[in-house]
Amino acid sequence: MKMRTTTTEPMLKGLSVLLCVLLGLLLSGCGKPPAIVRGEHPLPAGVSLVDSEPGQYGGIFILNETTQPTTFNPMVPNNLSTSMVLSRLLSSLVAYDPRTERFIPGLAESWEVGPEKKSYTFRLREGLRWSDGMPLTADDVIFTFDCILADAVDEVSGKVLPRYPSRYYQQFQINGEKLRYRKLDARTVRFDLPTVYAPFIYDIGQPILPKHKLEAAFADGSLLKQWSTQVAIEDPESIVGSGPFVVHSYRPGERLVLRPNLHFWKADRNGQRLPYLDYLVYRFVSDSNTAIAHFATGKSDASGIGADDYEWVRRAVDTYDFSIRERGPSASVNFFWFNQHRGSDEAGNPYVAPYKLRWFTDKRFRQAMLYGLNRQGLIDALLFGKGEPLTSIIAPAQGRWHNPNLPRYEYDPEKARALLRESGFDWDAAGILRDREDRPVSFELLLVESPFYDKIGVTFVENMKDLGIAVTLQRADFATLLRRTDGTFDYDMTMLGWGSSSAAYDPSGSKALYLSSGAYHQWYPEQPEPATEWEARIDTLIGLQERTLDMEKRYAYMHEVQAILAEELPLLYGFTPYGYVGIKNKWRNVYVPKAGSTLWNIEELWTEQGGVN
Amino acid sequence: MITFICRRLFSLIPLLLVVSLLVSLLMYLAPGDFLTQARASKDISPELIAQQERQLGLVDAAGEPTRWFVRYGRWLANVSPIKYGPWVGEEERGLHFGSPYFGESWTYKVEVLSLLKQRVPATFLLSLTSITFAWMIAIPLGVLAAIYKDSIFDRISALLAYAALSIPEFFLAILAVYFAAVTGLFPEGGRSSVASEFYSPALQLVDYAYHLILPTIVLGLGGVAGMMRIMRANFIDYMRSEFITATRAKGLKERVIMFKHVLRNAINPLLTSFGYAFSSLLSGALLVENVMNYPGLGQLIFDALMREDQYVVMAGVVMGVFMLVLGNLLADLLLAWSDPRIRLEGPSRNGGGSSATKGLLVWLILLGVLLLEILLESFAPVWLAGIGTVLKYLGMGVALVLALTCVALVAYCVYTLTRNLLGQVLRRPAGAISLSVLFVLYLGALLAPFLAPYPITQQNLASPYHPPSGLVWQDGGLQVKLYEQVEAGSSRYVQKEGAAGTTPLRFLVQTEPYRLFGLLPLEHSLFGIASDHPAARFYLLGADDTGRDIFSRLLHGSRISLSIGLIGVSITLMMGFFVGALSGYFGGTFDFISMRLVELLMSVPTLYLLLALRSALIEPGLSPVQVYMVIVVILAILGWAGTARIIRGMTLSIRNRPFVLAAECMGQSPVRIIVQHILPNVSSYLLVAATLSIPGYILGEAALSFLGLGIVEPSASWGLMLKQSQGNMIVFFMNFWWMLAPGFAIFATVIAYNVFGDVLRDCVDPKMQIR
Repeated sequence: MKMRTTTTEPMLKGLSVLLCVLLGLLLSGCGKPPAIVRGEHPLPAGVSLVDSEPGQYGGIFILNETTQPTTFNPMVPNNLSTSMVLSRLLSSLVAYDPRTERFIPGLAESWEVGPEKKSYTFRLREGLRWSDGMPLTADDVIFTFDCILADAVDEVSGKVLPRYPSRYYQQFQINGEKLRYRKLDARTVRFDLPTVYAPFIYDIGQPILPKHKLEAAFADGSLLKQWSTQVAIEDPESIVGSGPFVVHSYRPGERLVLRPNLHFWKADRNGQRLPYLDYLVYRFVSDSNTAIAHFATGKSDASGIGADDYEWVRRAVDTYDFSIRERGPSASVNFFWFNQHRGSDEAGNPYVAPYKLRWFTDKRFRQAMLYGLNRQGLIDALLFGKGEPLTSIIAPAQGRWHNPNLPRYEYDPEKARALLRESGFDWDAAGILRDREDRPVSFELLLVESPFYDKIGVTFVENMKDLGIAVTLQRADFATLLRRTDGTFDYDMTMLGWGSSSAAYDPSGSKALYLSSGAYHQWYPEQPEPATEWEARIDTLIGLQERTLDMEKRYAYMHEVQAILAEELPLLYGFTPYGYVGIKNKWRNVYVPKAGSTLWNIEELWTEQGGVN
Repeated sequence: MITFICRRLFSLIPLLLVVSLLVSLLMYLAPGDFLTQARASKDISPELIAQQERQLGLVDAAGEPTRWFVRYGRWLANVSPIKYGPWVGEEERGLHFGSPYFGESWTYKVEVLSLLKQRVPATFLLSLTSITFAWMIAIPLGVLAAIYKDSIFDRISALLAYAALSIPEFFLAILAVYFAAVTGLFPEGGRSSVASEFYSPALQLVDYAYHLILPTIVLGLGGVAGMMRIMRANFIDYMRSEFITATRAKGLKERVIMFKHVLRNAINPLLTSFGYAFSSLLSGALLVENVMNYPGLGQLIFDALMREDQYVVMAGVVMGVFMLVLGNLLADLLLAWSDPRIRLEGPSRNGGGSSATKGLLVWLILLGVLLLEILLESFAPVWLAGIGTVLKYLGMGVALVLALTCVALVAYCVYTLTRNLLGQVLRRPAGAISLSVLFVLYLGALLAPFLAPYPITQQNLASPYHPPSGLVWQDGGLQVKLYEQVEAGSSRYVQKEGAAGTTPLRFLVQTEPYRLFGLLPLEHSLFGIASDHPAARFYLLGADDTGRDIFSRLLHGSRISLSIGLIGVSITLMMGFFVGALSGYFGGTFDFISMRLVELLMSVPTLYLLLALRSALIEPGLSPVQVYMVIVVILAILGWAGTARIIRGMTLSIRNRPFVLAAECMGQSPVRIIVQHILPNVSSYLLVAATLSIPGYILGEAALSFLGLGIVEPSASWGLMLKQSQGNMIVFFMNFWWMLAPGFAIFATVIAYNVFGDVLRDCVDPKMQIR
């Protein structure tokens, strides 16, 4: 035995030396990234000069993402992560500045609205080039809209359908008519709308495609097969863009590395072409906990931080030299609603039992439910107090669209009881709430399967128990839930939430929710005619705000819509967490907007400490 | 050798066909499809959806949903290397040969094969390294434990092995990630570091290796324990065999004897297990891959299953089965290399020809049934519905009978245990300890409403993440400390000042009325506090994020977690026993069919099958109790195959014993013989198998709940609680350690079962190899 130990010792030593050498190799920067050669190409004549503090080149920015891009082709229906990445690769005619909450020039240096407010003329910057050096002209803009709006006659039904289906197709059917567009000269494009349509400037922000690259695919019908993830892996060079970055390499499940587009059309005051960064790395982490743990241990440069994680991430602020910025209430909203569908199914059975419909269509009943839900308690417990109850379908993060003077419906069981009593409910000896016909009040809460909603649902059940109401929880996957809320209308009450990823906001995006005829008018969709006066009023207001370009008026109309919704409470709002964003202190020119991407101005970020971290 | 390999690969074809058919069918049955998400999103028009539906082949020309056989047929036609136009895969008339086309991922719009090409190497490598790791640890430890049998080393290694076996893999992975995050010694996950993008190829390899270390350890550790026990048992076995005595007599050196003669023989069973170890790793990899962010096959298939990206799932599962068969083949080759006595060409089973015809016959019958179904579905759907109803009631009847036999069988096994084995088990310290731990756990579950101070759902939003309440002896009695938050919304608590800081612990406190054992109406719980302050609670094990008492939830949760194993194992045992005994007793066609079924079940990566079954069987709107039952049944259906194989082997040897022959001569019916003569002989083995497979159910439930597919609120199970406790890294970084109590409970239960099972096995037959 003794002999054995003596022989293993030097071996161990050797092994540990070897390990040390290997580790040393790993940690030392011997894998220096290839330098980016800049300054080869002159700036375009129409370059956009940013007014932020000029910086210096260099640096790698690492971001964790939980979902991966599924394509690099904006025409293919995609997910949030894909559109984030695409926005780095492709530019649009206009951009949105979250600081001023206004649209600013993008590829177009200016635009004019015609005298009747029905036409828009965009003038492109002079000397724009794609990342492969080819000029970017009005032809590309026309090509982009050709792609979006191309029709094909369906062989089976004979109906006219989009040739390349994308969500943009629908967007540019305004009042049932297709958007018209034509090239005036090499740098000018004119769009004609059938009617005054305020959200147009919001819709026009989709990326412009390179005609010289995709024309052939457009013609032979393989457009949607272009620029797949496979292309990004094998031949990233062929993905040509006009954004601040181009694809350097893509390893699915691992990372996507972007490097600067040497033909980008923005520069700083000193005439340095943006972006400053050498590389922008998206690292894919399937689990959001791991993503945050990475950031909290200094392994990524920026990260959104949930209100519930804020407490512990904050502890590492000094160790890893980052700071956490508060963004205020997030742009995501969630809400409960009762099924108020007054119709009946084919067999003539009402979707909602008449006695239940009587409860659900009673405003005071709905108000009582909201008074009875301890939303602040939920915020205190689940979010460590870092959140606030919602008052409107338009989150406070949406700036001036949000109406700040709305009733808050703070937790008040007594008020809830008073309202219930007022509308004819009463409690029996066992404390069970009964309606006028002496029916005990009980209903089902249908929830999508998610731990977060579970907690809210369980709290709702407990709160309602205090009011003498028996609520049972039922869970369904998202698909089933939607089938029941939008198709078979077989539910009592349910809850949904949605978030907005972009800082630019326009209420017309959720028109289908406000309009009583809309498909997403959740509590009673696709009404043949407005069921109530207040719904009719909302219909009018939504129409009005779309037909004016005066922002003040639009805000005022939407404030009235929110006031009506807050009084009638067809949607019982939940709560929204405060958003936090952590970013390493070494980065300059960071401006964190209230909503949308933190890194909306990534091309302007720079650091004095370049190199790998 | 070549013919052997060819035969193996040839046998792969029917297996792949059946598995792909199964998966395709399950995906067809699962509610929703790939476009469900799109249908839900606000800005996609119905026309667009309809167009997509046609493009993806979800509906036919008339707009009706395509039938399952059309979908499967289309897939098969594409995959088949032989295409015959215009029906199979090719437009043009005539016979074509083409490379198999596995379709396109609907999500990524990329060919499935190229998607798999990105992922398979990573998973393959990880599986290989973790098996190697497990062997490298298990073999030396097993050998040492055998050589120094009953020494302190043996004991400690056994204990460690139990511990490794009892930690849920995903939990270990979480711990590893936490360890990596805190120490910085290892990467927290991923396959390569960001900087490696710019490394030289050699350094990139080092980087890959560096990233493999933690996942390898996490994945490998689970296998170590089982292999070590097998190794130890074998080694002891051979150490006592005659040829070893002969070598000793010849005067060979002890080292040579041990490592040349014993080891070489003892290692063979491990080699055989290689194939299945490989497949179970493929399944286990999913959880570890998810937590450790390792871009492997598991993640891809799981995502695809959740999105119903059909072709990816099918190709992935086919690939998984292929890898498994490859693993088995490799194991056989290894075995042949290590043990020259084994002939690869295989023992020419008497009547090899008849077995082949039998196989063909079975396939023909299967095909016939499928064709009949297709015909009925296409031309007489009403009949099909009728047949379906008949089958349903028939099935319910059978299920009832089975359930009754199940109860009888379990009762019989327990009777055997108490009568023959209990004394023996209790005489050994390990047995006594584990049995009493189990007894306490089950007692806790039975008396949960009485022992738990609070109802399972009662929240206390004012005290999220409340730490465990302290107890002090003061004023002649036990006093519970009361706490308050340092500031509102903070998770830090301090004891209240002065007299408000404590309240006496009371026994038999008034609670909401309940029925103990479902019968006895009671309205007191064993202990609690009586305080004027509504938010004052006695949190023995702290509170969760909505202020629910973890101790109470743990007790209530134990009802699910502990019973899931018992019920599941009863079903498994019953099926395993009957299928095994019948096929062992009768042999012939029944044997042939059931053994093929067993092989099939054992060759599909379990977790994927489980997920597919779950999505197909769990319809929306099931109550938590029903979800629970479905999960138990799924786990049991997947689990009986192994038992059946062992029982079959045992029955085969018993049926040739004189007393069975005698019974046959006396004209006893086969059922009587099986129940009266075979069952008593295998009952103790059944018992051991049961005890050792219960942990699998408990861990299975935990894994399912961890993926969010198991037990749902407001019910509680340990798996669900564990998932909730580590829903984010808060638990670790804020030191809410009490939230891990369910993890400890799982650990304790599983370890108790494992120890108990091992003791039982030692009592029954120390050489038995069940795992």
